[in-house]
Order: sequence, then C-alpha cells, then structure tokens
Amino acid sequence: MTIDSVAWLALVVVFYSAARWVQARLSGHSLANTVLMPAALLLVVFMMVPAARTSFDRAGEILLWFLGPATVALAVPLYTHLERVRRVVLPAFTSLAIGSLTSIGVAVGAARLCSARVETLRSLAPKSVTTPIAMAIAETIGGVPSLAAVFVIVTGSVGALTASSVFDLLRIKDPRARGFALGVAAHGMGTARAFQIDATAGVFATVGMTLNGVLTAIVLPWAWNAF
Amino acid sequence: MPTHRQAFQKLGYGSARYTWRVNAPHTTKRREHLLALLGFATLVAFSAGGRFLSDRLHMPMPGTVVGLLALLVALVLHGRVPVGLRLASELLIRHLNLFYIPAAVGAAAYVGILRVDLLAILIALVPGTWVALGVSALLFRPTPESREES
Repeated sequence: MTIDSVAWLALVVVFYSAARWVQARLSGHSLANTVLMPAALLLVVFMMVPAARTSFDRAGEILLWFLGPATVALAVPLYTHLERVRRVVLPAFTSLAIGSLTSIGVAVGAARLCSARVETLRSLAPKSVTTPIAMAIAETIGGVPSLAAVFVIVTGSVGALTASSVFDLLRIKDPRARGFALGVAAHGMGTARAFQIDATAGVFATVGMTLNGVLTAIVLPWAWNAF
Repeated sequence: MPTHRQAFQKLGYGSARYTWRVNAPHTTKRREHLLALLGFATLVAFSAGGRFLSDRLHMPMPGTVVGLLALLVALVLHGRVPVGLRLASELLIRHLNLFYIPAAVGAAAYVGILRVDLLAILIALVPGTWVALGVSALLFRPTPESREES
C-alpha cells in the first residue's frame, strides 16, 4: 500500500462521511445516496486531475476487497431474524421465489425487447439483489460488476421512494408483507425504508433481502449455463 | 509545595475510585475491539474459504455466497451469535455503502452503454421494480392463525 493509496482512502472516507452527514440532515431521504454523492465528487476530482485516476483505481481495489467479508456478514442478521419468519414460511417462500423471478424476468425481458447489448442484459439481471452479491453474480454471468452496482442502487432508490404508493394502491397493509416485498425487490435501501415503517417490516425486509440474494446467486448462474 | 505523588493523585490517577469508574469501562471497550477483530477475521476466513470451495468444485454460484451459507450453517450448529462476530458484522453492514464507491466511480466509464440502452434500463429499473414490489407483497398472504401477537 503506497502513500497515495492511503491518501485516496482518506479522501473517500471524508467524502463518505460528508455524504452521511447530508443524508442525516435530510432525515435519511432515499435520494441522498451515500454511494452516488461521493462517487460524483470523485469524478469531479478526476475531471480536474485526469492523471490521478490510475492511483485511485489501486486504492479502490482495497475497498472492494471488503465486499467479501461484508457479504458473509449478512449471514448474522439472517440467522438472528430467521426464527420470526419461520412461522410464515410458506407465504414467505412463495413471495420470495415468484418475486425474485419477476425481477429477473422483467429486467431480461425489457433488455431483450429493446434489443439491448449483452453486457447491459447481464448487468441488469441481478438488479434487485443486494449490491455485493449482485456484483459477484454479474461477474459470474459475464456482466459488468460496476454497472450492476449502479443498476442496483437505482432500483433501491426507486423501490424505497415509491413502495408506499404501490402498497397503498394494492391495499397491502400487513407490515410483514410490506417489509418482505421491500427486501426482495429493493434490497438494502428497501430494508432501510422498511425500518422507517416499523421494526417488524424491517426484520422481514432483512430476511427477504438476504434470502433473495442467496436464491438469485444460486439460480441465476445455473439458469444462465442451462439456457 | 505538593509532592509529586500528591499532584498525581490530584489529577485522579492512582486512586481506587479512578480504577473502578474509568478503567473498567475502558477495559471492556478494549475487549470489545479485540473480539470484533476476531469476528472480522472469522468473516474473512469464511469469505476466503467460500471462494476457494467455489473455485475448486467449479460451483456456479459466487464464492462469497458459499461463505455466507457456510457461516449460516455454522451459526445454526453453534446456536447463538458470538459477540465479536455480531459487532464486526454490524459495523461492516452499517458502512456497506463505503465499499461500493469505487464501483460507482468505475461505472462512469460505461456512459456510452448507458446512453445506447437507456430505454431498456429505464423500463427494467422503474416499472420493473414496481411490478416486483407488487408481486412479492401480494403473494405474502399469511394465514389468520399465523398472525403475530405483537
């Protein structure tokens, strides 16, 4: 690790902390995203100093390395909350399986219909899965991990911002159904939104998010090889 | 003129009260940090092990997900979450966004693709998310008996 890597990491942490501060100021609004704000600031830095890009990419690899242990860490909240979901295992499983397939199907269908490029299609397929798993899936099926990350973040923002209207329109009141759907369709950002509804919704969202990540990671690469 | 020792005690050092009131929480905090570090090492080990297994056995699923499942099985067998593991995973999950920042920066290089396939991307990301939300929420219909006592 060279001295400029350390400097880059420090700058990323400063931008990230600033973004967290802004987000707290806007009381956790889903548009105040703590990934996209620092990334935009960094892109401004690169526009001013294009030569800085190479040394940043080396520093970025250090941060991306943490996604491995962070993905494994998702097992802990899943284990903690699994007991509560076990009582409603059948509706949860139906919702998870069909919801997961719907997300993939709509993404692949839209890409096929508009005859999008192969990279786009493969990066869009895991869009409802939590970012670290989605990036790993995109890599496995030949997509672009960084594009997948951005698609996932946009999906999460759309889900978190509009879920309440969708649920009201469909007259869904059960906080467990609302939370679980938010976790399955809109991963971490949906889960954060679910915790704003209530704790039950948050717990169900956590389980929905993690199970969808695991299910998609098993099914999608397998289906890709089979068809 | 106060002796050295008196000055030392005036600052609060060396008294039993100081040791009990301040030192004790300090030591637990240090213990927590140590346990969290061990927890982090466990996560790294499961992640590396998952990758190794996935590579060696040519599993189609990503190695980190193999690690996640292995840790889940280990937790079920163990019956509870060790303190350090809980601390480390809470910290990592809370600051998950920090680790994607380089990925989002990298995506800017694909602006060309984004522009060409904009329509497909918008359809998949906006109405696609509404459909997925609606379908999963509508299918989550717990039977009346399973209603929770809250």
